[in-house]
Amino acid sequence: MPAKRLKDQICIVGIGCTAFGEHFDKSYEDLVAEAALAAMKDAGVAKKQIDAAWLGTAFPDAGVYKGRAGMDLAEPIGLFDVPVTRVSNYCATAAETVRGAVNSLLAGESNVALAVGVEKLRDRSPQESIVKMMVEMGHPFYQKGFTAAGTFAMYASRHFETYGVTREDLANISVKNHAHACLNPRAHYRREITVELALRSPMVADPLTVMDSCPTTDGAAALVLVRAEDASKYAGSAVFIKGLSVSVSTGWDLPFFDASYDLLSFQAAKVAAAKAYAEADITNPAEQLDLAEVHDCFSIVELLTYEDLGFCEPGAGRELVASGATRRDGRIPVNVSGGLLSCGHPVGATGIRMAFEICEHLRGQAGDRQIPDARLGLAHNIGGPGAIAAVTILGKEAG
Amino acid sequence: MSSDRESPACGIVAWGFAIPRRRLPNATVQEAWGRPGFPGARAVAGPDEDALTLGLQAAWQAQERLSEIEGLDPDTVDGLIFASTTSVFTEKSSATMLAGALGLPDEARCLDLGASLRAGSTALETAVDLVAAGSCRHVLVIAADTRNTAPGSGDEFLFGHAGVALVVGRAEDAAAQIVAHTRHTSTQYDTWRTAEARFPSAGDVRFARQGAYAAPVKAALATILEQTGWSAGDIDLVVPYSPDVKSASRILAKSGFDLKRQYCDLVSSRLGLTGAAHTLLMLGAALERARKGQRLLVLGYGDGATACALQMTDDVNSARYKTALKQGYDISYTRFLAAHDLLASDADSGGTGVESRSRGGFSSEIMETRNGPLWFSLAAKRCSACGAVVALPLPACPHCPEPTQLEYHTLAKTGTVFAVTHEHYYPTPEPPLGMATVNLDSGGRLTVQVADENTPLQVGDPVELVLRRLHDAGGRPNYFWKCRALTGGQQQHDGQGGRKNDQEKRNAG
Repeated sequence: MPAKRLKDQICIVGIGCTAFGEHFDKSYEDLVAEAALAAMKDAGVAKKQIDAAWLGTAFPDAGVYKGRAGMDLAEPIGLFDVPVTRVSNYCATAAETVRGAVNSLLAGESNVALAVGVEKLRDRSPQESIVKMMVEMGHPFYQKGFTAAGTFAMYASRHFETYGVTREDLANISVKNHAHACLNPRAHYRREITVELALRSPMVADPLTVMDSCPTTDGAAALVLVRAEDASKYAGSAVFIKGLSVSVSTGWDLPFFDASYDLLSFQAAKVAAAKAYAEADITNPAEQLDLAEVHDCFSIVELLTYEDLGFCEPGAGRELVASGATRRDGRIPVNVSGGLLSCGHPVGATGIRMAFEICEHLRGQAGDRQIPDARLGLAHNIGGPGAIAAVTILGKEAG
Repeated sequence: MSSDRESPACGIVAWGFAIPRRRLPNATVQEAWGRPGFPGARAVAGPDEDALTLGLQAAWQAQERLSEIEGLDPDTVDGLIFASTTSVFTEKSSATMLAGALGLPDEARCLDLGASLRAGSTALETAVDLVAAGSCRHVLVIAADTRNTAPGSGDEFLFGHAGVALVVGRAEDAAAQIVAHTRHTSTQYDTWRTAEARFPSAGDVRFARQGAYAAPVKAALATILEQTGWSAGDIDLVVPYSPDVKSASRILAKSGFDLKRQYCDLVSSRLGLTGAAHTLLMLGAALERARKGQRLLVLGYGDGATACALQMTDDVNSARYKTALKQGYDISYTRFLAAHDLLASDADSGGTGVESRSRGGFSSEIMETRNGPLWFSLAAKRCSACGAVVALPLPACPHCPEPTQLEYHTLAKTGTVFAVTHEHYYPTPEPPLGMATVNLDSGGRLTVQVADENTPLQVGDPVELVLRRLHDAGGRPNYFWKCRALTGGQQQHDGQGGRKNDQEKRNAG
């Protein structure tokens, strides 16, 4: 347990999120400004009130060389003369912006903090961005030949072998998340698919197909955070941070070069979840959580995340999704937004987009996709591939 | 007539073969160009194989054989000669690179020979002289070639790719003693390739067969018979390089050989003509057929002719050549052309629009040198406290609470597939690209690309590690480990061709 309790100390009072998709008409700066200004407007906060800000972009080099430093947030909105810091931790990048803001507020460095996550990948073709990064910019030898899909496909390979998981099990996840996204106006894809379509879609890295993989998406999301005692001063309906934990539990290469790794689960997620649950006084996550946004960059990751987060026993993920328990109307709704698979995955924005989604539900603003009486939600990110995890737990009220 | 000393007390102690698993059936090439041709197939290198990788693989097998010989120290190889007309580098010694990869001592003599189809037999001659003179204890002779003609040219079906390695040592350790060797030089143009040319040129064929082939072969044959005192009838197996199906037979028949009984070419019709490797490859294959006491006569060709007389000192209980022959699978003409950059296509990018060969990635000779033991000698790190084996250049054990001593732990080249996938979007000449996490028999794990994958690898399959050309970057090839099915016998080569392989079926689906 950390020296200082986090639970209920910090509130989110402003949220903003762009539509996710291929924004051929918008620049990196446009996306930054749209999300940041929306969150500030929601909180009723002017530029001059912001004491510190964090910018999360995971892959400036895969995109348009923007987001390498805090200035790429400062310039588009004219936020000058305050510390603006760029953070990066692969797919946990956005969660790191929130962690930076939270710690600054807790330490008293700032009274109002801004966290912005943004990724602008589609000024290049998908192959020229993420794939090219692994082909041309990666290590000369280690993991040469993998795209992101391939690294996670190895975990699918072990789940197929160990637990008898099938391509249909994975398709169930994609079908569910695509159905969810139809109700989300910000989602990249809003189109239902069938298991048959998912199974027929082109192979990316077997057993993962195009439908098992998230698209290449542009987008940005932002939060304004303050200490709980100040929350009532701001316009936005406050959401409490119950727990926030980031864990780095292996390296980029280690699981693939050390035979002690079983490639069935992500230790980082288990550790981050345990810490966040302890902070948030959660003992039975599947019962206590009203919804979860988990990191389904590939369908297999959502499946094994059920197990890592304790929603079910190891090996029981396939039954959990097949039972419908993780549908919007199920016992533990997962990825009501459509998830990364269908809402999209602008890497540096995703963690904040998840927090935005949960805030909308906790505030009762989620429209057609609203989970009735949602009081407690979880956001989960996995990055690098599986080395890093972030778990954030948000609640409607203190206590 | 010859200044060569008689019976240098040398012989061939060990040998190994590297035959690419890909076979290009002649029928598919003939069909593509609508011309009649010959039956059979030729062995062709994959996109990740070249003279260096084939040479290394053959040398590993020879080293392995050497280590099996009782009373012989396999670490006494102190000379290496590499022969090829398709060396990867014009400036940088392949022989020294091979010596390094094979763990030869730094003071080993290293010699690169090329520029002629005769380079292989010249390498053997030179090795014999080095050992006979006492300059070297054992010399590893490696010959490998990957020559191609222009697609559609008349003699395209003749050219195959392969590597071979012979260890030359003292006669008392040898399976075959070298009785005599000689050569006869010709300066007549028959086949040539300038530094700029991609493909060999040939002059008038009938003129070349008479002057450039027949005349020096006859002369070398006469000399070697004189040197040995053997008559044609004394020889059990005659192993001739023949530039076509008839030239050698004609000369030998006229010289009193019984072709049916003595003529021994286990290579040409099965693999094609394999350049500078060809003569030694035929010799290696013949060694595995010959019996104790039998006499072998090897006739090489290239800028004249060579002749080498050998006598078997022992029965050889080994069928490495036969085994390697069986481990082939047919590929299409298109796949062959793409693999050898003979086809303008999207193959280089794997359909992604990202060019891989020209901009294949980041390359660092600095990192390669720093991590050489791990990357090229498979010396992983092992924790002295907890025993964890990590195949990464880490400074400390990632599992122990306190920094511990890491020692080197040499990984086995064999293991089992733990997890596997195939990347359909990674740029590669042969999509999809297999990736496998392999748990090695020595402990330890590597995750590497899959090579020679005709039938998709499965979890649990036994595999071996091979060093291959991973990608071209930094103006040079970058070599790293891949894995491939241990047996390679998924599709026994039937020599008939015309069969669509599994990999292509998979792509079509």
